[in-house]
Amino acid sequence: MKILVIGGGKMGMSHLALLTQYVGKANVALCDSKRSTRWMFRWLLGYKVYPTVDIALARMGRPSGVLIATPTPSHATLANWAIEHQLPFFIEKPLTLDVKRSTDLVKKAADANVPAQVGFVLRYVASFQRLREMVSSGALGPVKTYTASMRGNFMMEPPEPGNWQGIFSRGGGCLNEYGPHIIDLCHFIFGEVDRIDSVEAAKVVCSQADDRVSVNWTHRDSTQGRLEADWCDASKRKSTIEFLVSFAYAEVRVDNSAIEIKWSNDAPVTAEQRARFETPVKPFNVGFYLRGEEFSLELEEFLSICSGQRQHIDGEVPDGIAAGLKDGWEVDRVIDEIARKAGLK
Amino acid sequence: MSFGKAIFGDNQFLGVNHANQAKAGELYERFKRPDAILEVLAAAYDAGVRDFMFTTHDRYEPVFDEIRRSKLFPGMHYSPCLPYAHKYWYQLSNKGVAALLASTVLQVNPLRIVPASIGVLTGRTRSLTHLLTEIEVLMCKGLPIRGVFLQNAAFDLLLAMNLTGFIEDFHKVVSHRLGALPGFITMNHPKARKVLCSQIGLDRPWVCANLNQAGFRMNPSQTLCEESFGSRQTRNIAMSIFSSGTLDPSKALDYVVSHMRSGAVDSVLFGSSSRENIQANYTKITA
Repeated sequence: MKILVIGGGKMGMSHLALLTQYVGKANVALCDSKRSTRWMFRWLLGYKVYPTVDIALARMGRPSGVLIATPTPSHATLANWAIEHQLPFFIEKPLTLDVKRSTDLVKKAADANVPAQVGFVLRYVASFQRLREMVSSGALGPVKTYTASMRGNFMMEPPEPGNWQGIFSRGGGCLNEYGPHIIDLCHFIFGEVDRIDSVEAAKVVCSQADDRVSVNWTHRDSTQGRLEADWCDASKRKSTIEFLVSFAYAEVRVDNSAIEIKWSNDAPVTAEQRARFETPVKPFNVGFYLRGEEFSLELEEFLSICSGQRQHIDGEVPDGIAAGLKDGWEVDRVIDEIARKAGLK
Repeated sequence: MSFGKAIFGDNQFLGVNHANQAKAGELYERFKRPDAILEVLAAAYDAGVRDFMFTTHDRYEPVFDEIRRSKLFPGMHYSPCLPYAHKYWYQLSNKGVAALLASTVLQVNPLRIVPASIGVLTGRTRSLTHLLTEIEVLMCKGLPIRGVFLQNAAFDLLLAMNLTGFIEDFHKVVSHRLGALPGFITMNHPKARKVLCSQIGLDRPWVCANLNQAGFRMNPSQTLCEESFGSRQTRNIAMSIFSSGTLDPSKALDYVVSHMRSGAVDSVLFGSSSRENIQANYTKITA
């Protein structure tokens, strides 16, 4: 199995390193337009490198799949290239941040029958999978309401002028950076968002992008939720996600690793069911651990798609977790609507 | 020279708790004050601990300044684990790999970059490794250093990319130039053992990896990790022994102590912010 990684930034490097352990160094190659990046990966790190995707395809032969980890503005072009060449592809989140282009991609990939996976990596965190099970099983009663938050210390000082991360129109800002993660998780756990009820956005350190966003929305099944994202929270060492969910029979708090359940006094939930949900979550085992199980798991899933054979080392990893292009489109659609209501577009 | 049986770790000081982000946040706030860190270090020292293993986070600069100034904790040995990955990871988005490397080595005498750069251009990376290692251990200058560890974020990345040359360079730089024990932190003990011992040919290198009753982060499986520890091809430091509090602490400790008695584990790395727990754990580990 040969895999071409496009983009030698931090995500591309992380994926390239992990893939090396799964398919072997001789079977992965990097494509990057920057000469210094190619030099680094070739001479210092020992990888095959190519300046363009077409040269890569001509020289390395047809890969089993391509992994697109370039900045968002180039996603649509590269995804279209992969579809045209009938190559299964993994594309980093967000999909395109352009609803029309994402809509076209979803249709084109479906018409060409090319499998694609979007890098919504947090779907592979065991605690969020447990929360999803709580919601879908109905064992804790219907969801009354919930708050999902993502906070971190990503942007603590005003970015340098021209830095894309501080410019909303270039894909920067808290909504574009944190939004895809947390919005996809809400979509994964509670289903599609039907309408955005209200939005508040605030600038703290950036002058051309949002630093804090809060949104009230309603899902297709009428569940109401609130989203809070803040990328300039000094109390955080790294980004942290938290769900506070009010079920009919319990109040539940879930973060990246823990689940806390407070049952209501009259909860008609058997002791067996309670024990099942209260058992501490343990991450799945992976073939090779680099930055968190979730990064290995999403690539094991992608390699399963490319090879047609399950590649997870842990038999307990559930199927059907991977995000497809339609999920990427859904997130782009929700971000677009929030941005318009917040006056960012 | 060797590590003591009980090594005090620093996850609590940096707000790392694998099982509870809320608790992690509280700890991160609490240990923003250097005095709060010094108080817990004093508790570990009073309990009998003589090894402190820590990541090279800026938070320790004032702590070590105070230890040097007031000559605190005589006989304590310090083992930095480098690099503190978060500070580089954030910069990587903006700068890219090449520019990040350049800005990092510029922190020391720019003249030192010349031989390092020539080395890199000609495929010899030891000067660069030496430079990067030296930058990271600057904060412990004047303190007795027992070991220097490569963090799993860095070591597992090198392991993943099959960059055995860098790993070998690091081992030589730490043992020959810094006169300390080189060590490797990993989440992939079986793979690390194979590369360090069979491919590079190191003689019983120090490896620090998860070993716990729950099998938490023991990849690719708990059984293979137990076998790898038990091979005794490496000298092993067990970490995440309590699986961040998800287990009965007494049983969790019994599990690791039994591996210590069988010779699979040489030292145990543990962290705590409570004087009572530090004393109890130290007593059980060293009994």
